[in-house]
Amino acid sequence: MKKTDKLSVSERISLTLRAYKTIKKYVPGLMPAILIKALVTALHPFATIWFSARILNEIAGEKNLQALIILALSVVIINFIISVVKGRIDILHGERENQMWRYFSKVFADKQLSMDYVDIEDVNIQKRKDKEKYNLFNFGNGLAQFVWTINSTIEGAVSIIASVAMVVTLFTSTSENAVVNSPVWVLAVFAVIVIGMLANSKVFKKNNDMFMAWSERLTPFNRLYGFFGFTLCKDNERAKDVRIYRQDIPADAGLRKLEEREKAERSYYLKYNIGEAAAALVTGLNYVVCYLFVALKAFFGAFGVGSVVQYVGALGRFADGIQKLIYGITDNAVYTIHLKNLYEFLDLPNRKYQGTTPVKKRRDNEYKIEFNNVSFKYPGTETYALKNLSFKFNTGNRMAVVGMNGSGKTTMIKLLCRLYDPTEGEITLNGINIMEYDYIAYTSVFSVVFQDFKLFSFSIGQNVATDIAVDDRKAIDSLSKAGFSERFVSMPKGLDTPLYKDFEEDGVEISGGEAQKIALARALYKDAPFIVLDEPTAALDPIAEFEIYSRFNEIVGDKTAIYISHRLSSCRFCDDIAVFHEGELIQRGSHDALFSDKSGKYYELWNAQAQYYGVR
Amino acid sequence: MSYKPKQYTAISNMLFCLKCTAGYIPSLLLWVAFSVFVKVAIPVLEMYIPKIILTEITAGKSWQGLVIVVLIFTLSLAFLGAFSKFCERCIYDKKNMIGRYYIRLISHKALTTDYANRESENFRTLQEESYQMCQSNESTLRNIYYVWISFFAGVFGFAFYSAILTQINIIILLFLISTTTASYFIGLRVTKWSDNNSAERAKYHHKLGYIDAAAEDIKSAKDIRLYNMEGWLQRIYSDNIEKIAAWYKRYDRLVLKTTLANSGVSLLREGIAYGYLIYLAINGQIGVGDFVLYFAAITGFSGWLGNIIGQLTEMKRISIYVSKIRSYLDYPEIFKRERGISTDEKLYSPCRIELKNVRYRYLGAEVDALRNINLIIEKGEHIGIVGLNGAGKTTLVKLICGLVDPTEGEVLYDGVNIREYNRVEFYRLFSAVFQQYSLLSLSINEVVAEAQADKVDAARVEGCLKTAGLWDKVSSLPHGTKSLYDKGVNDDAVVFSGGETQKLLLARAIYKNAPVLILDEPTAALDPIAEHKLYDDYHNITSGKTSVFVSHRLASTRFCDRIILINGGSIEEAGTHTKLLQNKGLYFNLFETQAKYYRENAESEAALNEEN
Repeated sequence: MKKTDKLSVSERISLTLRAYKTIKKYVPGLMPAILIKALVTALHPFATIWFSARILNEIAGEKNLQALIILALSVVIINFIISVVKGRIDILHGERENQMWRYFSKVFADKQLSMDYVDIEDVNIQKRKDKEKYNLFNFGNGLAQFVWTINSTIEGAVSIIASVAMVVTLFTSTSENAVVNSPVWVLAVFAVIVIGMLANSKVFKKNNDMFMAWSERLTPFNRLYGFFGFTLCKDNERAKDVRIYRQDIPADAGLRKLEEREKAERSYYLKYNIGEAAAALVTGLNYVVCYLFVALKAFFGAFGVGSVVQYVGALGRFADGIQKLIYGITDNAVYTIHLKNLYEFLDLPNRKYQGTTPVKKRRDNEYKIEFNNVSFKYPGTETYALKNLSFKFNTGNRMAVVGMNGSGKTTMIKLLCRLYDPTEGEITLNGINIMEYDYIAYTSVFSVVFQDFKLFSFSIGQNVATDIAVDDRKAIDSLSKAGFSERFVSMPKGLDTPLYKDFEEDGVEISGGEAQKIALARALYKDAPFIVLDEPTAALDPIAEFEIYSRFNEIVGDKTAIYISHRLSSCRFCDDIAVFHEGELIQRGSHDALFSDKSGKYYELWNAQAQYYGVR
Repeated sequence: MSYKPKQYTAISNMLFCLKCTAGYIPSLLLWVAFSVFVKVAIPVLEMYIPKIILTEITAGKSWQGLVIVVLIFTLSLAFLGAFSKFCERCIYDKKNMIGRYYIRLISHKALTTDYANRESENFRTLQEESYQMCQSNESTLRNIYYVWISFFAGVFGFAFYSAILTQINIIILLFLISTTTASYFIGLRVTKWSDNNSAERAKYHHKLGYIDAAAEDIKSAKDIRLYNMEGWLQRIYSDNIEKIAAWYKRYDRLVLKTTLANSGVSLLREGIAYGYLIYLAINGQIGVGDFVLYFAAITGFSGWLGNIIGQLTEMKRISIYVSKIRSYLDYPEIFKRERGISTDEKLYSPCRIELKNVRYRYLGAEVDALRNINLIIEKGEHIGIVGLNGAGKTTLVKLICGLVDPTEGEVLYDGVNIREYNRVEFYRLFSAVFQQYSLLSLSINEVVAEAQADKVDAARVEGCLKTAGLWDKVSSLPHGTKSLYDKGVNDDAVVFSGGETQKLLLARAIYKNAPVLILDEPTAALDPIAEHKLYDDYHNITSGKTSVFVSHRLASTRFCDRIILINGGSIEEAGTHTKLLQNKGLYFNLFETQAKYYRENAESEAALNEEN
């Protein structure tokens, strides 16, 4: 954090209000709890202070029994009411605040959901997100700071008002001693309070800067610490290598080194702590001056002894209130900067949703896709993942795309589905640039099964329908088309069977092959005119692979299909095979045609695989 | 073989924490002692100041005397306050350091425990719970010091205040003790209820967390967009929010009831205190100063007693957690370590491995993963293991390298049951590439050599990277083999594709140069050309070693001396590629299924057309 990024008052107010709205939206019940708690906590001590002063005065003075009983009863009853409200709100507020972290994740999850895919894969944007999350979840910067300090800020303001009302008579009353009556005392009392408050806020600022510098210094260490202390130990997939390659040794050494690094920050700890102690001392001195003034005034007969308790108590609350308010305002300057960063991240524009043209669902399913000189570089890289790609593709076509890893096959699909936009050139659907279309409407044209598809731990029916509402017949039909029937009939709860055991005891574990079938069923349920399969058989054993190939036509039906694989044997049944190499489309045609070109890439790839089956 | 956690007493658990603290950062205990002192001294001083000053004022002797009294007492309070803050901060710093210590203990156990324990749900739950106890700044084991401070301050404060109160009336003291205890037990109901019901809320929260993670997972981003899943996920989220709101409604009702009862008790307490003191004051038995003192003592008293009872319960609660971390750290290890046979002499040439009547069943599983396994791997033999997904191939590999012990039967290395070896040393006999891997977040040099930078043989790393086919990429990097691996930890780290990572793993296995080389599906992420290269180099890499090559693609193991086909948990066929094809058994069938697509003859074309 640089010292130069200071925010204007109006900016700070609007950011604080926005934080209020964010908390209200994401953390149910926390905001009202904070407000009530602040109010009750601020007012509570004044009841006791005021009444005990009256009681003491009465005891020191006339000792009127009836008056004493009334006073005692009033304070006891008022305390009862406050205690009921406070007891309840304390517990609820505590619970809500403890749980707030859970809800903060949703702020980032929502942003991620609405973000363009290109931004999701953009390392810089993800780094920014990680930074914002790290700051919030590790230090409470921004939103959590707001939650922590807003109630004490309000509490401070309320305390000041109430205590001022209660000490007015301290300054207006006169004693028999002229020196004590002098207005200089009033000035002195306020001067001490103001000095105390300035000292406090200075220490606070300095310590905060020190803390920021400290955490900045330790950040790289903490990331490595997270790796050795947590990732390496918790990730069960790593456990075999850890033992075979004795990774516990570097882990232990790494952890110890980082511990030493942290302990070595001695001077930071000492300076920070001395600062805090000094601030506390200054606050304590406030108390000394106030007490001295009040006691002397009482000594010279300006008011009764009971009022000593009242004034000292109220002045104490006043200083406390000022301190809280100042703390709140200084802290506000810090957390609004964090909030600004957070909201700048959350407000990053999403370009994808700018298109407006609706995609007409054509009854004849006539869709024509064309790539015109499309080139593409991944954000932040220099090399082209795709170069000058041009091809046409019509309804009813079956195209297989083959090539080595990194040849641009999957990138092409990502561009087609508008997960990315081309760096150069354009892709058109029925003659219109696909960027013109309404994004949601455009994606509804494609059913894609990616190689790294994802299923969720909810019911199998919802996974197929990707909605809470499931069309049962359609879902069962899609599952059976995808070849999942055999397992499906053994599931007692049918479509309601939960996948995996994350939430339900009776959830089912499924193999990689079965998961792929469910993903395929999901694609079929969507019933889009285009179906794209990205290496759909990678997780399958030969038998299951064969099953999918032989039923491919049945599965795809009358849809237009694009099929990606690096196993050439998988593509034999396609009459249109496109060969990608280093980002370019280098060959296209039927298997026979491509195979007859003995100098072509296709021939080379084919032989590399085929020789292990004793055939050429 | 389910493991019951040991029972530890609360006292022994507190002593455990005390011992850890004293061993790692003893100064923390000193600050705790200081804190107890100020925690008692400040309220006592605050209680006496009004009494002394009011008495001084009412006595009305001299203003100089008053000034001196005020200065002495209020200044001491100011300095105590400052010291208290200083103690608090020192404890804060040091308690976070000790969190690191506990994490090191937990991580050490996690990394060195028997591999079989890693597969036990029980162990993993204990591990996760142990982490939670010291992971964050506010976690149980880091905050135990506050509990101790509050408890001991309570004990001293209680003693001091009791002494004051016995001066007025012993009955008042007994009355206060009983009402404070009563309100404590009333409050306990809320804690009990939420303990009993928090699992329900946790379940809803778990789902919220799952949805957040799903929404943020880059891997699900494509599917979420193309299937427009946002609405689905948001609806499940808001369903759960509603369930949580309903939970809070029930909770709030209970909270209201108990606070009413509790406030009632304190109403009674305050009422009686005021009544009795007013009675004493009117009768002239006490002055204003004493009135203030006793009233403060009465209202303050329940706080001290509350601390004692409250912190005792808190320690009991914490003790449950400490028991968990201790049963995790004491989790029984079955493998032999220092007491086992050393493998020093076996490091340089391979030995015979034998599996005798081996049966293996995963913990809690209902069927055997492997059974009737009898297999001899001769020294220097190259074995291929094939089979469908889930046939038991990886389990067999885990048995061979001693990551798990058979449920029945035995595994012999050089004629000795592997249970007899020092297991940590035993692993030195194996170089392995597993499907699930672990690479360290260090430089490529260190990753490949699995050694600290100064112990790396750079020339050998280069050779291994060349053999693995990754040298071109690594040498083109600006920092070469000093480049960092793992983008997650190092911002300027190299990014490797799946295929390149597999090559890196291979390089590491070659560098280790152990007598037995195990490759479990090492080609899954390689493109055909790289795959081909690996097969060509295979004999070079494995010469003079025993090797085990696992694959679900039959063709990829044909160059092995002997191929083992696993089906449904047992060895179905074994022999050379040619022999297995001649057998016309399962191997032949599976091979034909894959091979037919590569056939160029009319016969298979016809077969294909039939299907279409």
